[in-house]
Amino acid sequence: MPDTTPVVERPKFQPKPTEVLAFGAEKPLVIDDPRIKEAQEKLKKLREFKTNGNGGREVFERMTQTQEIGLGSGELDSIRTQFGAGQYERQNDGSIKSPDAPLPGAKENFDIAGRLIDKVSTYLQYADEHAKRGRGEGTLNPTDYQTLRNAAMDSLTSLPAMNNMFPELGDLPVDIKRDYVEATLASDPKLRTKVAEKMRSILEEAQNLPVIEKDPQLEEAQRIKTAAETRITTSTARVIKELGDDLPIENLGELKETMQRLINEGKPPREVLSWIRGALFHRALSPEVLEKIRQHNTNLADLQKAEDEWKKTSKTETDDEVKKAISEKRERLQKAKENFENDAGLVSQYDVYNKIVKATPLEKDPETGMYPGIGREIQEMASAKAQIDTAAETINARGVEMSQKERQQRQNRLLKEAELIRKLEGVMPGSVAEVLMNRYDEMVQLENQRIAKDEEEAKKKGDEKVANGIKAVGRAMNEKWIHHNERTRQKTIHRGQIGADIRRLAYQGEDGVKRLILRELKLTTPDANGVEKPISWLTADLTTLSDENKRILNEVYASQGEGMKQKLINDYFVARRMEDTTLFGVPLTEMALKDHELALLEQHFGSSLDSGLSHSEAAKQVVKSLQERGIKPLAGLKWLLYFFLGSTVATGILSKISSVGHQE
Amino acid sequence: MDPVSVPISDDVRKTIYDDLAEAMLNAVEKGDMTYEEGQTSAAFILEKLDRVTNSQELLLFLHDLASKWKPYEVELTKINSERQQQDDATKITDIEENLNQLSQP
Repeated sequence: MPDTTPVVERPKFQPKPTEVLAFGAEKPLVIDDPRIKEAQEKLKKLREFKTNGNGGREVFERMTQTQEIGLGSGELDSIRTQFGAGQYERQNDGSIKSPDAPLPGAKENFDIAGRLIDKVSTYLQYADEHAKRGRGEGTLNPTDYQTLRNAAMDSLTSLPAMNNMFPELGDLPVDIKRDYVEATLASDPKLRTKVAEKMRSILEEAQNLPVIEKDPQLEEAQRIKTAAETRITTSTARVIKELGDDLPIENLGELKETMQRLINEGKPPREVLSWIRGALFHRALSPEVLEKIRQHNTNLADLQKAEDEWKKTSKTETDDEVKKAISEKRERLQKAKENFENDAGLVSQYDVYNKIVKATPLEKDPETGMYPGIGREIQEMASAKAQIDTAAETINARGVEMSQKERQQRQNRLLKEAELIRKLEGVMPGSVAEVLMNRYDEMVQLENQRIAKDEEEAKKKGDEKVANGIKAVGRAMNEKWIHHNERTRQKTIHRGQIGADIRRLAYQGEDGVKRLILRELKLTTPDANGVEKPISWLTADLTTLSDENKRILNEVYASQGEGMKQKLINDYFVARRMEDTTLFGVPLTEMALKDHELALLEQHFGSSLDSGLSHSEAAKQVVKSLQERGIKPLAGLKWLLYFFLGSTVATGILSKISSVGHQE
Repeated sequence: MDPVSVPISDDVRKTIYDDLAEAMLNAVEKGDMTYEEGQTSAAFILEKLDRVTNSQELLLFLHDLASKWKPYEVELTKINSERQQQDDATKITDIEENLNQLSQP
C-alpha cells in the first residue's frame, strides 16, 4: 500500500522534545469554585428575606445593593478588637494595652490580624476615593491621594499570591508595577465589592468567636487591681500638675517614677510627702541657701524666745547683767533677721521655700483627719495600694492569674482566631482570583454567543459542513483546555493540553492554529482503495487537501481562528493563575512558557498583540511608561497586558476601567 | 379589546416582580444560574420593569429577559398562557353570543 501521508510542513523552530513532553503525563486539575459556597450563603439570606414578607422588587433591590456595599473604618476596627483572645485592646493613642498574663500566641494573633486589616483598609480607602474621583467627588488632595494610592498598590503587589499571579512584573520599577496593578485590577469596582463582602463575612465570624466565661471572683480582683493601678497613675499625674501650678520649678515629671515606687512599696503618706518636700527643696534651692534659710528659721524662733524673755524680765526685778545679756541677744538676732530680710535674693528664695512647705503638708487636718492639698491624693494612692495588695492576695490565692477553665477557653478562641486569620490572608488574593474568574466567565460567555451566531449563519447559507465544523471547534474550545461544567460550576483544567497547544501556537504560528482546527474537524480523505480515512491533523500537508476539505478548513479558520487563538491564550493565563496554592489548594506546578516561547508567540502574532494593546488606553499607558524608562516590555508582560486589557472581548468587558492606568 | 392597549396595574407589576424573584431564587438554588448572573439580571429587571406601561411592552420585556437568562422563560410562558386563555374565553363568549343570536326567533 503506498504511503499517502503528506510531507510534514516543518515549523521555523523545532522544540526540544523535553520541553513539550514535560506536560504529557499531567492529569487534568479539577477546581472547586470557592464562589459556590459564598453564593449559597448569600442566597440563603435572600430566601429568608423573601420569606419574611418582602416582595420580589425588594429581593432584587437587596441583591443589587450588595454589589455596592461598603465597609467603614469603625467596622474594620471592631474586627481587630476580636483578636488576641480578647485580651488586647487598642488605645485611643494607637498603643496596645496588654494583659498581665498573656497567652502564648495572643499578641501575635492581634498583631497579624491588625496588619492584615490595615492593608485591606488601605485598599478600601483607595478604592472609595478612586470611585469618588471618577464621579468628580474626590475628598483628598492630589498628594494625599497619591500617597494612599501608592500604599494600596504596594500592599497589593507585596502579597505573595500576587507575585505568583504576576511573575511577569518581576523586577520592574515600582511605579510601573503600581500603574500595572491599578490598570488591570485595583481600580475595578468589582474588586472593591468582593473585598468588602469578604470582610463583612469575616466581621460576622469574628463577632461569633467563642465567648470566654470569666471567673467572677478573679475577674473582680483583676478589675479592682487594674482600677487601683489606674488611680495611682492618674493621682500621680494630678500631684505633679498641682505642684507645677503652685511652684516655679521645672521638670517635676521626673519625680513621678520615685513617687510611684514609694507608694508601691507601701510607704505611709507622711513619708512620701516628706520625700516630695525634700526633693522639691533639692531642685529649687542650693544647699547654701537652704542652710541660710534653716538658720534664719532658727534665728526667728530664738528671736521670738528672746522677745518673750525680754517682756518677762521687764516686769520683774531681774539682775542688770541678765537683762543686758538678753538685750544683746535680742539685738544680735534682730540684726541677723534684718540682714536676711535685706537680701532680696534670699527673700525671694525664702518665698519659694515657704511655698514648698505649704504644698507638702506633713500634718493632718485635725478636723478631717486628712492631709490637705496633695496630701489627700497621696493618701488616696496609699489606699489604692492597699486595694492592690488585697486583690493580689485573691489572685495569688488561686495559684494562677487565669483559671484553668478560662485559659482553656482563651486557647480555644486563639485557635479559632488562627482559622479566621487564614481567611483574612485570603481576602485580597481570593478577591483578585474571583474577579479574574468573573472576567474569564464573561469572556467565555461572549465567545460562545459569537460561535453560536457564526454556526447559525453557516446553517442559513445551507453549509452544514462548515456549520458542524464551527460547532466542533466551539465545543473543543470549551472542553479541551478549561472545561467549565455549567451544572456543577466546576472548572477542569487540562494543563497538559493547554501546554502542548500553546506551544504549537508558539512554534507554528497561524499554521498551528489551522492544525488545531483541523484536529476538531475530523475530515476524511479516500485511500487508494476508495475507503474514507481520517486525515492526520498533525502531519497532513495542508496544501494537498481536497478542494472541499480545504474550503471547510479555510472557512472555519477564517471565522474561528482568531477566537480560538485568543481563547487558548486566555486559558493559558487563567490556568496558570489557578495553580496558585494559596488560592485553590492545588499543587503548584510549573506551566509557564519559556521566555523564548513567549517571544515566538509575539513573533507569530505580534500584529494582533500590538493592535489589541492599542485598543486599550490603560495598556498603552503601561507600555508607554515602560518605554519612557528605556525598558523594552518583555513578551510575557505584553501578553499579560493583552490578556487583561488588549483582547477584543477583554476590551469590551473592561471598558469601564480602561481610562485608568496612569492617572495622577 | 386590543391587548396592546391593556395598561399594567401596580398589582400586576408586583405579581410579575414576585414571580421573577421566585424564578431567579429557584434557578440559583438549582445551579441553573450563578449568583452573579442573578445580580446582573436583577439590575436589568429593576431598570426595565418599572418603565413597562402596557401588556405589549410587558411581553417584549419578558421576551428580552428570557433570551438573556433562560430561567425567566417560565414567566413568559405563564403570561402567554394566561393571554391565550383570555383570548379563548373571549372567543367562546363571541361564539356563545353568535349562537344566541342565531337561536333567537
